[in-house]
Amino acid sequence: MRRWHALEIVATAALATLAAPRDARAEPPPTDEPAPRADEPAPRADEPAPRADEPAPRADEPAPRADEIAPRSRPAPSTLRRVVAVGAAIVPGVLVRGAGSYVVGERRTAKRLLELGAIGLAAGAIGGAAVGGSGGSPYFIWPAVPVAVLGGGLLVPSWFADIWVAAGAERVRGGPRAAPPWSIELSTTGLRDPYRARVLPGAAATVELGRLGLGASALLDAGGASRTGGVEARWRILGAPATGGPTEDGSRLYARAAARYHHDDPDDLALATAELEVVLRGELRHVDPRLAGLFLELATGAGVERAGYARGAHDLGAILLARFAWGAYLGRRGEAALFYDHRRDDLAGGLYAWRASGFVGSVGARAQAAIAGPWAVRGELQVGNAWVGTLALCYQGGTR
Amino acid sequence: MRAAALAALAACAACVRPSDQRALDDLGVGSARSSDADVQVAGGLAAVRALADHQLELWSQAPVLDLRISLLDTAAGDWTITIRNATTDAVLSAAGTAYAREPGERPTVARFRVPLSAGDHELHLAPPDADRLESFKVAAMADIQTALPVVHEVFAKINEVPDLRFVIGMGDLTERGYLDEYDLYERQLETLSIPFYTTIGNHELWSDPMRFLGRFGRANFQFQFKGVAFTFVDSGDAGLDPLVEEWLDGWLADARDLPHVFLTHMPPVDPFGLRYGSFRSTRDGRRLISRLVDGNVDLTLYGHIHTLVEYENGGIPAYISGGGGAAPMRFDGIDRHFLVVELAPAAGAPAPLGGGIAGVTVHRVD
Repeated sequence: MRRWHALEIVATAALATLAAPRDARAEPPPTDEPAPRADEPAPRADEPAPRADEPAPRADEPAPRADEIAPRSRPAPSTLRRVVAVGAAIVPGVLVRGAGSYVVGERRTAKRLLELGAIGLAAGAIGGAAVGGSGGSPYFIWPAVPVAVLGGGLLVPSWFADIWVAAGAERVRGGPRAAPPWSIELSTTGLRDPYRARVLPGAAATVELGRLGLGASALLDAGGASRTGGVEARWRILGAPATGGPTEDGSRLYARAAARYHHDDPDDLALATAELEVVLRGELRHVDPRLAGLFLELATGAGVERAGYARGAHDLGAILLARFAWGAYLGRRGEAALFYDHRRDDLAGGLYAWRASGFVGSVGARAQAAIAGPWAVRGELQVGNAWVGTLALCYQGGTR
Repeated sequence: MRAAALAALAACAACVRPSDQRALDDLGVGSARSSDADVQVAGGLAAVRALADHQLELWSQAPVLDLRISLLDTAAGDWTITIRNATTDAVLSAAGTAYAREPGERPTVARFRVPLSAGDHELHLAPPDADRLESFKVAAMADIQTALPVVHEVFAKINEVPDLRFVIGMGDLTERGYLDEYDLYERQLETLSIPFYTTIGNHELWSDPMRFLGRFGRANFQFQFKGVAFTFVDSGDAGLDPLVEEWLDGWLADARDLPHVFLTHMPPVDPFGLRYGSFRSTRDGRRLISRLVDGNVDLTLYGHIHTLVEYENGGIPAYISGGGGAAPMRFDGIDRHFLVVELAPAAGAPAPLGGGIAGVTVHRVD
């Protein structure tokens, strides 16, 4: 039966995601913790549990989460042990997931991270073997590349999560907020790539109409060299409605359709893109309660691109979308995430990856936080063929 | 703090131009100086392998070479000039005098004994028909890599095609860029009866790319032969350095009214877009295609993907031909192969593909 435990974890996470309440405030706290198994040790005294001394929730606050991390009844690991654990999480943790959690005594967390990493490694290996073994045959690119990238989306975040637990960062104790019912944003983006150094002022707006979300954005080169505009529509399949307020579970699943037009005068290039993707955010507390406050995002899809060149020539092409992110809630004020994006057609393009150049997408970090009332700031740095940094000021409607 | 910020910006700039040093290294290829002699090859179209004791040895990257040799008094005398990777009928001329090849060498090794006095000398190496606008054929191939020990089998098939003038290559000659691989590559070229002009691929970057540049010549260059322009650029790390793009803009302008064949290792945009076997930035790939369209390029040849794909980019006929023997793509119905490109530069000559390209045929080896 043990060999099915990994599948059980995935199934548990998936089911928990699928079972996420549509309006978390109207639902009781989730009780998705699997029952103790015969081959597992009895729950320890420091297992997460509802806190008896918690103040009563305010009307606009969600009910306490069943998996909130309670203060430990045993002494916290010493600083030395934390340092050793973080070291173990890095090496051998880069190969053996959960090593850091194990050192700080979180054996169940360690085991589940090991299993999560193993699933990711297996998916990455299967996808990679299909692509590499076939020599990049078109018959194997789909779904092998998305499988490989999404496998990376389990493998890499499980490493970060282990370092997180080893460092005791669970004390951040963050929680999700639902998307705002509407928002507007002004931004400035700095772009540095082999051919360009540009500053791109931008604006964006979103509105949520029930399950349907609509968005529009524009990015203009301050020097007038390029113009980019896009629209998108999202259909929320699962997850909390867009109230803007705190929510019990930030897990969500939605489909996204988008169109974008980009014109670059010096390049004599016009790109029109239409794409469709499915995006899943799952909270890692469904994998283990000690991972509360962390989330994972996996997304994949495809698109078509029409490129217009000099002298009226043009091409049609396809684009593959696959990305993953690992993030943490910053209290109830915002969130931060690290991500990998496999697409090459955006401003960042793909990383110079030495021997693997051309086959690798971009990496980045993003953070968003409420600063006062409806005001929030957003920052993002994406590194691929280009360095792309964005700072944005947002006004968000909805409950604060 | 300010110094740290400047250092970070400089590091950032370096990160987005991984091949700038390699482009600069190209500029050093094609010239050499000793205590009493100086050699300059126009366009850097040959690597200077030796310059000493009245001996000059070059590895040619073009069928036509123009050399400028400057000698002090102590260097005057009879010089032995050896040009490797030369066309089989190349003739060396200087100041109106043609010099005959010395006998006893392989077809692609041209050795001349030339009396040179102190001062400046202009030498010209070319086949007799180099300037005549008439049809001719070349072979094209890429991606030898691990098949280097057996690439003589491909070369043997190329030798069987009549009237080929030379081979043009789209890179990935070696698997790791090791010295013994380059030694083997050069030994294998001895089985080829015509010269092989090539740029590099990503596999040449596994080791110091100067191993290629210093021995076989530039990775970015253009030559013209019988009224057709051939432009090779280095996209080994899935992009073009801005310096290379600047050179390319000049070459495109120079060859605007000529039939023009463009070669690089990576396809700017993978025709099977989901695979991304192409430039690391699709936008930069498309930027290149737009330049090629605007520059009237007539044929684009790529490698990197180990199969054969015939398509168009920006309306320009394009071929991906990675059939040199490296781990082949499965289920594509083709293994080792090369292309034969027939060029018809003369006005009015039939050119079904347009722009002086009379045809491209695929020759299977396996």
